[in-house]
Amino acid sequence: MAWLHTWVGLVLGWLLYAIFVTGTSAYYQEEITQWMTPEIGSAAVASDKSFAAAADWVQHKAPDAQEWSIFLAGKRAPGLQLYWTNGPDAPADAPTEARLDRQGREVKARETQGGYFLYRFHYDLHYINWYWARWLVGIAAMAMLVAILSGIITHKKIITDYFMLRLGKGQRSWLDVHNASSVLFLPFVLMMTYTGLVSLATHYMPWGIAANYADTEKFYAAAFPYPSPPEKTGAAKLAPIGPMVAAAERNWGMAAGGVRVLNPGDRSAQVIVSSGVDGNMSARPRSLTFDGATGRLVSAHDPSGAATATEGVMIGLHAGRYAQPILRGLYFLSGIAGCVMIASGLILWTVKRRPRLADPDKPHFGFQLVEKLNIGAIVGLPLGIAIYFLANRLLPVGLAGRGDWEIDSLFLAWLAAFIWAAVRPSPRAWAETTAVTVLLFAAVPIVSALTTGRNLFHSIAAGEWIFAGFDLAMLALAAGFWTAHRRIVRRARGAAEGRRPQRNTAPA
Amino acid sequence: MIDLALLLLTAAGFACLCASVARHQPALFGRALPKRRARILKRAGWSMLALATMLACINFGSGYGLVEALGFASLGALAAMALLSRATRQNARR
Repeated sequence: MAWLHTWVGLVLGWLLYAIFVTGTSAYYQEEITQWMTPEIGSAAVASDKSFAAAADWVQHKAPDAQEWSIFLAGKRAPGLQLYWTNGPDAPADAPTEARLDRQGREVKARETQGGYFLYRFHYDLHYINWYWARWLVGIAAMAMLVAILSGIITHKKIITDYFMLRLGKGQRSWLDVHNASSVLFLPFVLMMTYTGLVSLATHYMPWGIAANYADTEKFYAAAFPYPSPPEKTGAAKLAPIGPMVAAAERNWGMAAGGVRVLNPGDRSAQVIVSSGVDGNMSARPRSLTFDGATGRLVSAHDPSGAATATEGVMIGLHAGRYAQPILRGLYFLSGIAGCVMIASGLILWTVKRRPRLADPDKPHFGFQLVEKLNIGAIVGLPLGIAIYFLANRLLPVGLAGRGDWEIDSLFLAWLAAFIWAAVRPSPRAWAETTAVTVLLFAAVPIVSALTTGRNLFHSIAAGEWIFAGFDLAMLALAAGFWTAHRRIVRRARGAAEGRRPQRNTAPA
Repeated sequence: MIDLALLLLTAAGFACLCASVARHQPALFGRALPKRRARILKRAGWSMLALATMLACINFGSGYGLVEALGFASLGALAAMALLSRATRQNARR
């Protein structure tokens, strides 16, 4: 079992670490997006008013549209996203989407994928086809389940060791950190791994659908109804959207998250209001269909069946969109513990093998490879994310393909970290990459203040907690990497002066 | 307010459980505790964790409450561990 735990954990650990880091950031996806689009104000407006204002805007902007959808990604979302299909007379290059703020005014924000990119990366990766990416992520998640279960079996004294954390003792400390982060946060880590697999279950096991539905589309039509516009029957004014949204919200007892209008301005118009993503624990939305001309309720759709409900709650638990600020914070901290668990496990692999090396100054290729990959993966990704945030502030606002440039900067920086690790002696590479990461995270609030005019003190004074919180989180990350850097440097110095035996010179 | 109560309850609960384990007692108290006292500590620890779970479920509803109670349990256990780690280091210095 120990063998299984060691090797499954090592081979997929680097990918799992990347999934955990970006997945953890996704708990603050909306806040990251808000920070990365500083042009959008963060005023909170009741959702029925937001939807009504957005409906007015689109009716004015695209009066001939055949259908339109307005999305509000939860209470924390910085704005609304609109999509519409133009009428047959519209020019081919007429716009079909827009972003509005919560007051229904169009915003011209800098082009960025924001927090959405980090969220998306954690299961679709990047630069490779999403279909294969999900298989890769799924294999990693299965490996994680295997590693967790075999880890529990390997770690026999799970109860008595429960509270052990002996710092500054080389290999023993790494084992303690690895055990503490995994045992203390076991409910979270186990739940996330399992529910993560469930959320992509139909991707990995399409046969359940194939066995029951001749056509896969029919399953999706039954599970997630998405009607097409009906035949048109003659002009009629669209009833106000606000009261329909308000009625739906009263009906469910939670906020609405989307409004879709078919055939606006026609007697056959339909208004479909669906529940928000953060209203309750289940990720499956409910919806109500209204007659667009009269505003009368026509039909209701609720996800039904025990299996659907279970799946909905599992995905909901994984994504945590329902979580209020305190629980969201707990999710985030638990996510960080998961990152620490994987990182310490990867480092432990080298720490354990170092004393057994024939010549610790010239380790064999396999050992070197793991150590270099550890540096590039564990420090390189956070370094790349810091660059992603800096690129958001430093790239020219009008740059074509700006959103992609931001993402490319992340991966270029990450690649640079791998190259740096490869060409420098490992202990130096640990110290240098962590030092650069400290500087980059500390630079984010400063660069942001210089380029947007929003500085930390101003944000605190103005009560703009998303911006203040983001800046403080960057400083906290800088402090965290500073602590790691100090330990690494102290270890290396201790080794150089021969005060410690060689086997304790593990990278901190 | 309820969140603070949950954090304190879970931290205290795990601290009691930690103190009830014979292996950790020398570090915490400088000696092993009598079996009876260890048993009382253990029961107190579990009761506090149960109380925290109950409070969370009453306050937030059973689903949300359970998730929040588990989240705080992890945090509380972390706090208890930090406490033990500190005590161990101080004893080693003495």
